[in-house]
Amino acid sequence: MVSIVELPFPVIVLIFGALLLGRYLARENRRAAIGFTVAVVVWAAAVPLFLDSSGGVIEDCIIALAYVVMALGLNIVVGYAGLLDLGYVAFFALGALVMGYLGSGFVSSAGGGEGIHIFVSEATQSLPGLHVNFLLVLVVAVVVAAIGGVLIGLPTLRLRGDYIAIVTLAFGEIIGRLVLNGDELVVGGQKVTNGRQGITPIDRVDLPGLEPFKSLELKPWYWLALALILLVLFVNSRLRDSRLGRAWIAIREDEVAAASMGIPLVRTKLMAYATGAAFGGMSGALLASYYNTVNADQFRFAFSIFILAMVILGGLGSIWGVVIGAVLLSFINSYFIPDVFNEVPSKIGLDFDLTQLSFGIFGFLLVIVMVLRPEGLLPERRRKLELTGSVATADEDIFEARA
Amino acid sequence: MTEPVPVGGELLSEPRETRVLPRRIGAFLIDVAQILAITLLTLLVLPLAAAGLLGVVVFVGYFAGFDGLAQGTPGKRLMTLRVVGEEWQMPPGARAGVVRSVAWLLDGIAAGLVALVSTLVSTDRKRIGDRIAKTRVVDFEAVRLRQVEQLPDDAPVLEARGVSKAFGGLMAVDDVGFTVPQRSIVSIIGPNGAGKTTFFNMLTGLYKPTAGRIVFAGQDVTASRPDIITSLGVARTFQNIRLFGTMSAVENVMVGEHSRMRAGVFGSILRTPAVRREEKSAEEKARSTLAYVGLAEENFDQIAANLSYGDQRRVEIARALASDPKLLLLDEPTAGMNTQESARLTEFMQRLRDDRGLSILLIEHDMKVVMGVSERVSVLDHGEMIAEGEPRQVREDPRVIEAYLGKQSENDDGGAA
Repeated sequence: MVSIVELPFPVIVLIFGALLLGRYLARENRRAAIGFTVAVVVWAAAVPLFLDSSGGVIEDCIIALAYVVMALGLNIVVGYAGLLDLGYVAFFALGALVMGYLGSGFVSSAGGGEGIHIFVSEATQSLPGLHVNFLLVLVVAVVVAAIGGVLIGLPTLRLRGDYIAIVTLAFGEIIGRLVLNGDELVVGGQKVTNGRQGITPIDRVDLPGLEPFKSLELKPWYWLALALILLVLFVNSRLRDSRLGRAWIAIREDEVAAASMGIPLVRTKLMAYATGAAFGGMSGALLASYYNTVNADQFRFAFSIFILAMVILGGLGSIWGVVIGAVLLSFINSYFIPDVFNEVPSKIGLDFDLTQLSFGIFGFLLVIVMVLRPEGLLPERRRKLELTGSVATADEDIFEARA
Repeated sequence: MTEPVPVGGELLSEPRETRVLPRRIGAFLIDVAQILAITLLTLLVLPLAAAGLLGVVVFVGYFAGFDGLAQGTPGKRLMTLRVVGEEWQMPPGARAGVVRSVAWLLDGIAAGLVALVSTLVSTDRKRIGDRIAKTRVVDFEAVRLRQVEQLPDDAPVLEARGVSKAFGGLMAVDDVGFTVPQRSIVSIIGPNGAGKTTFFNMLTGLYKPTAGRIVFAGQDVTASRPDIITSLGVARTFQNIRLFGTMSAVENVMVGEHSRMRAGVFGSILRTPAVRREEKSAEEKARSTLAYVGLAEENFDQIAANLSYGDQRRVEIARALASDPKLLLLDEPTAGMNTQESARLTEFMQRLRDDRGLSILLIEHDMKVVMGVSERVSVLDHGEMIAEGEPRQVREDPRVIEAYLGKQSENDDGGAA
């Protein structure tokens, strides 16, 4: 007797199938796309009803949703504006740190040792440290991350292509190191971070009109993350079809021509960095509260690559593609490798666990996708044209015309 | 190549009345019905498809003998999916599993097909699109570009004084000065590598001049940013077409309108009425500009890279016109065109000048075009201006003949157009 009931397959297959169908419908008909989007949202919102409220599957789902928010943010920078960003973890870190400062006992001297409390529930009222309502923290995290985005953007403005990637990589690494060694950095009697130990515990999300979230009742977390995704999806698609979105794509296609057509490069690029970073910060604040800790081990270079892999796997610039890429990789990372296939090597007589190979597996998947489907799983319309060769290069055209 | 539509063709359709209200209500009802239908279908199809795939996975997993796949690790993963309070379990025996998996899969596929077919049948999008396109009012006035304003009639629109550009030790452009009067067509000619395009790049702000001043419409724009120069009223095309290849023709032209639009981040996200109006009028303007340069209407929504060479040139000119320029810089616009096409383009340039009060600065190799259309011609050679004047004078200038044909005693190794 085999019990398969704990597989999160329904979740993944639902989303994957829905997205494939949706891509097709969206290409055919705008109204179909709306109807389909509504249906997907309804299903996505219904998923927790079929799951245990504190089990592993819903945990994986929540993390996947938080990653979707981040991947969509990175998609603006890399997918739309074509600025390769290898330091995206920095914005995750900034958002998480803001949550750590404004929602824990970390700043113990605040309010003369009694703590400062702004719009928080009674349970937290008596705790020392800074305690601010989650919605306000979210706003602050978004603003701080956006400013961080502008700061990382400034030195890259004069650079192109690979050089941008190197500068952003360094920036991500700086933030990571700062968090790691922040426990030895004291500003005004206050440590900057708690290093490896981490800032913990963090306040649970506390929304007006609702009970504070609990660690054993995970459904509200799921719905909150889903709501954030909806917000980000909305912003993403609106921006894509706007003056700003066109400017981003123009810059991606041809920077010189874009500048000559009256697009201010500096402002437009910084806008991309800031918007992308804002979503990273948003997700960071949510994850900090969910993980209940902000520690240095979360902010590694590998995480930037992980998020970037989601974007590339799904299809650069394609909103639904990025969603599917994020969900897929996230589940592979937190479910399939550790829980499903982990013992496969030992079964065939090899002496290691599959988790030790995680990044090797991601790399392998990426290579496979790049070989078989270089435009990503659900490519953006434009990029598909670009890569499938139906678009002739300008040089060939000139050659034809002159011949 | 197919016979291209003439550059500067007339509008394809006469302006007609706008859509009437009843048709709008009808369209709205169709919209709502379709949205509902798709929502319901998708709600139904998704779980079926999911169940089908789930079946396959179980089937494969069962035969592959991965206990881990089925049971999961104890502890964290030990949980159950409850469907209406019951525990759902794989039926005993492989045979039953196979049967069920296949049934699920077929079920899912069938439902998916039903959904797709019904969508396709119910929407004849092209026809609806055509109907809307036919009733679209093309507002010619919106295309009419702003005239050169607030500038005395005799003042030049562009004035360059002693402009030089050195790349390392190489003087690409050396002390060039000239003026472009209002409503005129001025050409720069010269052999390859004479510094013509470098000069263009300085005028549009892509390069900073090493020395000299550039004054546009009474404003010093020396070394200004390209986007600022464009917003002041200078637009250009490129020698080797630089369209945004993966954008449609209309989108390309809309990028050209960037500096004339206002929408910011938050306005775009909320899509305020002002932003919506702006987008709509920008698109209409883009379409009528494309019609003005003679692109066939069925190519408006084509990806730019898929357009024919001549059409790409048209789109590039439309994109430049979209920023309402006072001065248009054309970098070898007739490259790759035959005599007939060049003649049409020449005519089109004159029309731009006469209808819209534009000034045009032209880099050109084709002598016929240059001599036919320009009021003044400047000749560059090795970065220096060797002659300047009316076409007839320039043609007879011995230094020009030498630059183009070489000295009489030397071998003639090309360069003449």
